[in-house]
Amino acid sequence: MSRIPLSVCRDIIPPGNLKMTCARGKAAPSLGTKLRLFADSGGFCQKPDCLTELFLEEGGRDLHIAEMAHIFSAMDRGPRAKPSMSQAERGAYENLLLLCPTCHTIVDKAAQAFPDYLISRWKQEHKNRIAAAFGAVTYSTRSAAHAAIKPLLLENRTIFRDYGPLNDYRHNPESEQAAIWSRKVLSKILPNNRKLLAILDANRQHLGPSEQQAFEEFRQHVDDLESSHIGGGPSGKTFPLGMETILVGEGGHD
Amino acid sequence: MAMTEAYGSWTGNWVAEKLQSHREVVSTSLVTPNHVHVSRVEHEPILVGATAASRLDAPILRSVIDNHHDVGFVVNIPKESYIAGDAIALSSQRSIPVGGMGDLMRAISLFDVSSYVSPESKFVERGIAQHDRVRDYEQLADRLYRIERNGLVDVRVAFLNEYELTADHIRTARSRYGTFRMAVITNPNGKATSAAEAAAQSMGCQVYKWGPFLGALNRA
Repeated sequence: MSRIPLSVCRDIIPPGNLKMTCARGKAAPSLGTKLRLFADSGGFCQKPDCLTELFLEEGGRDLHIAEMAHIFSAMDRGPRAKPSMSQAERGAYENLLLLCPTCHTIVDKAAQAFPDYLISRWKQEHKNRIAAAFGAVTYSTRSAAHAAIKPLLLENRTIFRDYGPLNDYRHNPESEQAAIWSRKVLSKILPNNRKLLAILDANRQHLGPSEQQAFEEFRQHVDDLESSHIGGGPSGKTFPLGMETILVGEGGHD
Repeated sequence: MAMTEAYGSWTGNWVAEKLQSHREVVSTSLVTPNHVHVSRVEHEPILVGATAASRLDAPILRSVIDNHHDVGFVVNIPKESYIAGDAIALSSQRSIPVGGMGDLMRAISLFDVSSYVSPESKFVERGIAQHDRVRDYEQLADRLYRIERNGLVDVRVAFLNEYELTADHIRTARSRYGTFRMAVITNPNGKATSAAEAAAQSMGCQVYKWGPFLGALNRA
C-alpha cells in the first residue's frame, strides 16, 4: 500500500474531478478535506475486509470509484443520524471516509450493523496500516523506537562497509563493484533512509536536544544522498556520526 | 636548514606509532628522527624513511635515502601532498618505492617491499600499456603521464582518484602538474561536478571517466 501525498493528489486529480457527493446527502467538504481523505485511503476502500482499489484504469481511461461516506449522516434522519451536529461538522474530515460504492451502500442501508464507533475505528486502523507500511509508528518508549530503527541502520552500515566507496576497489577504474554499490544505494540505502526519517519523525518526543540535531543533519544527508545518486547532484553532507547513538539507552535529556 | 627541521623531526615517531596496529609489524624503533626500523612477522626487517613535504621532490627524497643505503620505503605523510617527477625518477632508479601512509601499510606485507606499486598506478599503467593506440608512456609525476600514441600526437594525462572531482581539484592539479589535455577520474564511483568540467574546459582540457578515456585515446 502506498500513501498518496496531498501534493500529488492535487496534481493528478484536477479539482473538478473530485466529485464524490454522497447520494444520501450533501457533504460539502473542502478541497483540502477531499485531498486528505484520498491520502488517508492510500487508494483503497477503508472497510477492512474489502480494500477494493479506488483508482482504476479502464479502456485507457483513468477513473476513480471512491465514495465519500458519512460516519454520522449528512441529514437529520439518515443512517447514523446525529441531529445536534452542524452542517460544517457533518462535512468535516473527521466525519468522512472513503469507501467503494458497494461498501458505502451496505454501511448506509444496514446502519444498525455499522455504528459510528465501528466505522471510525476502520478509518483510524486504515491510517495506522498505511503508516505501519512505512514504519511510521509512534512508540511509547525510547527502546521500542530504537528497536525499530536499529535493523535499518545496521543494514545501511553493513552495505556501506562492504560495498561503499571507501573500499579498496576505489583504486581500480574498471571495478564492477561500483555498479553493485550504486544498485544497493538505490534499492536499499535510500528506502531505508526514508523509513528512518518516518520513524524518527513519528517519535521525536523521545529525542533529546543533541539527538534532534543529529536527526536534522541526517535529514539533510538523506536529501543530499538522493540528489547525488538520483539527480546526479553534488555529494553534500555525509552521514552524521550522532545517528549511530540516536535513541540508544535512556539518554535524550542532555 | 637541516632536513629534519624542514620536513619534520616528528615524522619517524608518527610513522612508528601508526605501524604498531599493523598485523605484520612486530616492533618499531627509531633509528633517526626520520628513519624507522620495522621488524616484521613474516619477512625480513625494513628501514622506512619518513618525511612531511607538501611537494616531495628529488632533493628531499635524496636527503632521506642518501645517507641510509638500506631504506626500503619512503613515506611522505601529508594526505594532500604530491610527488614530483624528479622524485618519481629517483625512486625508480634506486628501486625505493615512495608513497603515502596507505601505500606503506600495503607495502609492509610484501616479501619484496621494493616491488611495491600503488594499486591505482598498477591499474592505470596496465590499461594504458594494453591500449592498441599506445606506443609508450612515461610517468612525469605521481598522477601525470605522457602517453605516446601510434599515428597521433603525444598527450599529457592527469589521473585523479576523487569521488567527486571538483573545480578545485582540477585547478590544484593544474598548479601541481602544469598543463594536461585530459583529466581522468580513476575512481569507479567518481564523477565530476559541472564546475570541474567548466574549469577543465577553460584550460583546454577534457574530463573523462575511464571508459570514455580509452575511447578518447583513439582520437586526435
